[in-house]
Parts: sequence; C-alpha cells; structure tokens
Amino acid sequence: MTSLQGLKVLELAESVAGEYCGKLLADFGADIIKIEKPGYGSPTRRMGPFAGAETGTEHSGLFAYLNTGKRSVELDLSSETGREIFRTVLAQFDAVIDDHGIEWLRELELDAETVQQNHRGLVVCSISNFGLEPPEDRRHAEDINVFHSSGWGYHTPTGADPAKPPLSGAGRFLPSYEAGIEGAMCMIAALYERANSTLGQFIEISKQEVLASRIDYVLAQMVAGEMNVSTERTAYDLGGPAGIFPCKDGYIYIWLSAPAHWEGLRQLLDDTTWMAEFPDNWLERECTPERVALCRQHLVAWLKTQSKHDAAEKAQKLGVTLVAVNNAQDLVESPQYQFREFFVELEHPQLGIQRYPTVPYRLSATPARPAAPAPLLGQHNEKGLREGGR
Amino acid sequence: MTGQLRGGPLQGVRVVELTKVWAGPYTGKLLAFLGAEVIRIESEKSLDVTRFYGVDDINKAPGFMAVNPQKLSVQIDMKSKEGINLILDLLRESDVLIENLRPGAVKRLGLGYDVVKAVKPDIVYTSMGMYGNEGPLAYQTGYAPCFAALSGLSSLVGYENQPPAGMNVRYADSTFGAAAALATVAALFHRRRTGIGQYVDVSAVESMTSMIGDSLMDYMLIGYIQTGYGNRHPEMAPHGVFPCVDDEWISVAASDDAVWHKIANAMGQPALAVDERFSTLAKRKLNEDALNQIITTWTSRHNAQALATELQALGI
Repeated sequence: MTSLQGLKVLELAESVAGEYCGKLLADFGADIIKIEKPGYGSPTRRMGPFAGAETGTEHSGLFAYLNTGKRSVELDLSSETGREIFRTVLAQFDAVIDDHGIEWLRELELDAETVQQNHRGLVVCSISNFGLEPPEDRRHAEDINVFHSSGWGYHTPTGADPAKPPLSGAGRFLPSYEAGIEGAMCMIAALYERANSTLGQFIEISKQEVLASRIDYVLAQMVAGEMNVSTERTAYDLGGPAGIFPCKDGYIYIWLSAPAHWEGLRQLLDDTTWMAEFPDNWLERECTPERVALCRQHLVAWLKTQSKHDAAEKAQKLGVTLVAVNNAQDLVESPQYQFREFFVELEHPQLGIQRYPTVPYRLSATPARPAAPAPLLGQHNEKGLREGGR
Repeated sequence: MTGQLRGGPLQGVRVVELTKVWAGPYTGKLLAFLGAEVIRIESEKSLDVTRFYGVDDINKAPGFMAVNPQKLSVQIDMKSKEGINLILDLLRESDVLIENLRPGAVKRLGLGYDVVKAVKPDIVYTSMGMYGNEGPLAYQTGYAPCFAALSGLSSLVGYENQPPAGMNVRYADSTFGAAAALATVAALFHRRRTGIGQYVDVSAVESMTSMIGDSLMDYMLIGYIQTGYGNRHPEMAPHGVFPCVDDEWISVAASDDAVWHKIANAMGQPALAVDERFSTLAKRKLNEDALNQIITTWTSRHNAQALATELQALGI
C-alpha cells in the first residue's frame, strides 16, 4: 500500500519544479496524469543528460528521472477543443500542479478566484519563480537567476573570494527541487484538510521565497542585529579551519569547531608536534587566522597520504567529523545507499534498464518508491483522461 | 473533528518534538505553519545550543526564535524515569513525534518506536539522521556541510576546472527538515484514511542527493561523473554571473537564441547575435570564454539593479 493511493492529480507543469513536485507525489502512490503538447511533449524531454547520440523525445535522462510513475496524455490546451476536454475531465481530479504563470492559469480558468468559484473541492498548486504577481524587475528568470536573487549565491561558496563571481548551487535545478518539495508538502496537507472540510484551495509557491525561508536561522539573526548585515560575501560563514581539502584519491570535508574535535585530530594525525603550541580550546575561543592557516597546512600535508574513504573511517571512529566528498560513482557504491536501496532499477522501453535515485525517506507502512518508468509521449492517450488514467 | 475549521490544513494535529539545532526544529516549524500544534520538549540540563549561542537571554535568541515560532515548549527532565513517563503521557495524546537526536539516543532514553507505539499505536514517528536510522554507516554523525559532502552535492559546486568548493556552510539542515516534513504529512494522510501510523526514517545525506538527481542520471546512463562548472549550464549560454560597478554582480541567462538576440541588442552590439562565434547555442558553448568576456566588459560599466530592471523590461 502507498500513502497517496487513489489520489488523482493532473500535471500541467512543463518545467523541473512542477514535474519534480508531481514525481514526489507519484512516488507516494498518487496517480499523476501528465498533460503534454501533442507530438512535442514536455520541454524537459529535450534536455540532457542523454543516453548517447539519440536525443529524441524518449531519450532524456532528465525527463526519465522527473516523471517516473506518471502517465502521459497528449492534449492541446491551446485549442478550444483541447480546453473543452480539459474542462470536462477536471472534475475527476483531486488536484492540479502547474508551473507556468498567471496568464496561463487565467486562460485555463484555474486562477485562485475562478477555482474557488467553479471547483470548490480542487487543490491547485502553482509554482513560479517569484510568485504569480512579481514586480516588474522579476518577470523573467531561470533557476540561476532565482538562486542568485535569493541571497544563497552571493554567499556561495563558503570563504568566497571577492574577486570571483558568486557561485550557483549544485547542478542546474536546485531552486526547482526545493520548490517541488514545498509544493508537494502543501498539496498533501491541503488534501488532508479537504477530507474534513470538503474544500480545496489554491497554493502559490515562490521558488525565491522557498530559498529565502531555507536560511531563516541566519536571516533572523541579521534582522535582529545579532549578526552583521554587510555586503561581505562571507557574512553567512562560521569561520575556522573547516572546509574541503584534497587527498590522495579525491577530496574530503572536515568540520572542526570544538575541543573534542581537536583532541580527536591529535590521535588521528601522524605528526602532532605542531599542535603543542595551540591552546586546547582554540577552535572555540582563540581561532586566529594564523592558527587556521597553520592547521590547514598540516591537514593538507597529512591528507596527501590518505585516501578519502579510509581517512573518513579512521576519523569517525575518533570522533573527528571528517567525511568523503562523494561523487556519483561513490554513491552507487556506497554500502549505506545499497543497504537503504536508494537506487532502484526500472526498465524503460527506450533507455533500457537503468538505476534511478529514489527518495530520502523510508516509510515502514507505505514505502515511497518510483513504481514505473517515465511514460512515453502519449502512452496513456487512449484511456488517460476519460478514466483518470485507470 | 468535523465541519469546516479552515485554520491551517493541519489544524487539530498535535506534534511533539525531541529535536536539536536546526533540521528537526525546521520540520516542526513547517508543520506549525501548516496549522499543527507543535510542542517542543526541552530541558535546562541539555539546552539547545541555538538558545544560548552568542546571546545573553535564552528566551530571546533570534536564530532559535526564527526556527521555532508558533511552538509550545515544555521542560521535562529526560534523565529521570518520571520525565520519560511524562513524555509518554504526552505522546499518548499526540499524532506525530519528530526526533533528530544522535543515533540511538531515543532508544537509550526509552523512547524508541516500539515503546511509543505501545502507548500510541497510530503514532507517526519521524526519525531524522545523517544517514538514516539503519545500515552500515548509520552510526556516523556530522553537521550540515557533511551531509552535502557525502551526498555528491558539494562535488558539483565549484568554478570550472577547479577543486570542489561546496555550498555555503549553512546549506542542508533546512532542506533536510523540509524533506522530513513532506514525508510526515504523507504519513498523516495515510493515517487519516486508514488509522494506521508508521515509522518514517529520513536521511539527511539522501535529502541532499535528491537535489542533484538529474546529475546522477548522467552517470547512470553513460558513466559520466559530473563536476562543478561554475555558473555555466550545458544547455544555455550566456548563463552566468557578471561583475557590475560597486562590487555588485548580475546573473544573466539566455534560455534560447531569441533571448540571446535580445541580450546582444541590449548591449548595443546586435551584430554579435549573428556573429560566427555566437549564432547558435552550440557555438556559444564552444566560445563561452570569449562570450563571457564580452558580457563582462559590458556589465562592468553598469549598476546591477538598474541593469536588471532594464533587461527585465526587454524580456531578459
């Protein structure tokens, strides 16, 4: 059994935020019908990574990842016929996910006011860059613009070099994934409430606000004057010698902030003579730039002789918070990920059997997993809308 | 509970928090904002660092207040049998437990899932750990940047052809908390329909990996291990962050040729749009260094906000 079994969701989304939101619901067992442009499909079908030279609508690794477990129905929402069908079937659905804009929603009669009048039981979730009514200087954006407008980019990486540009988050779509989580959470909560009230509601998610809310702990201290509000690129940082360092076969991350870490380090390193001149509590109380530099210099020297996984294992046993900076291959080989079955194999008609990342939660009664590969374009045209995809 | 309450969607749900620092409390905050009654169990003997770190008054720490609004707080001595019994009494009348204590700590306290389930069979018990609760590495602990490093996420943040730089040190806890809140709400939904509670085991490292899922597909499909590529994007150019006057920066992205043409016009160099080096995405990617240099020369003369407003008006 799955948590959201039986819920019927119509996905109008055509970008990563909405498609990821739908994927999260699909992994919980909801029936997601994805509406796609006839013969063309979602724009994410045209984005990489691709399996090889083939870049047709059925070969995108991005689409395959974002749309596991969904059904695809082709419907031209720009035509009156298509909209008529859409209006007819809408009543069969519990919820709608969209990530276009307010004009598109109005054209489909899915804006908040009309939904409240015409579809009182429907939950509609809209995800956009800056909300549905953005100011004039925020009408056009890609994820990179959203990330850098959120404050995160300006403070990335930690210890930023002011001569180098602020850095984007990992990968292409971090703001979209963050917003997708928020959208899915709000949709399930709204459907939970609907079971009692019988009423739906309109949910409006702003990617930028989601990112800003993720730094609540720091922003609050700045607003209250406990932390300096400044134009320093390092304003979010914690200081100290912590950071990413090279080792024999890659990189490690080490966190050092307390006397216990220092004590552990003393047992971990081969050469500890240099440590004698440091006060035991220097990390907390006397963390000078000179000490940070000297500490890092000795860490780098030691790490040259170490491999990332060995160093991490030794360090963890001594209470030193040192971990490998993993890459894709490390994750696939990780005994922990294998134990938790984080990757699942699915067979796609065009991409063949591939492993897919799953979800970060294990639910004992209703496991959340991608149940089927992403649909081919229009794979469920026949039954799709009429029977809610059944 | 019947009728139309129409408070937050989780109105009527009671959540108990056995949490520390940021990730667990952030989960509780999201549930509180959705309308749940959230009760945080605290103890003066093991006070949360965010209550006293850098402030004089434990009741006025801005960081703590930002991550714990709308919650109730109860002091219970968890080191006494009486205290544990009080917590079990509370859980008997609650719907959700959120915990992010160190691995194994809730069991040692006598508050493991089995014990709680015995007094409250339909509890939704959400446990948050760096690596989740079970498995060969579940014993390991770390802080937010460790989650990011272990997840593959840090390796993707960096300048072109440079070592990984990682996200800001503050990234990870809140995202982990949001993933836990999502799973908790899904479990509540199931419970409302079936009366069945469950154990929800959330991994911080996997939460971070979920932020780079599409990058991993590159490895799955063709064995390619992605690394950081600065502010670039394989399917857009220009796509970057460029310097303006007064040490400010502007981010500019062209999703297609049409936007690129608008940028070239805005620069007052319309010929660039059809320049042999930049006329298609493939060519712009091939000559991206030169492209970025031209854009840098242009943005360097402008005020970031004024230029952003001007470009937005042009549909960029």
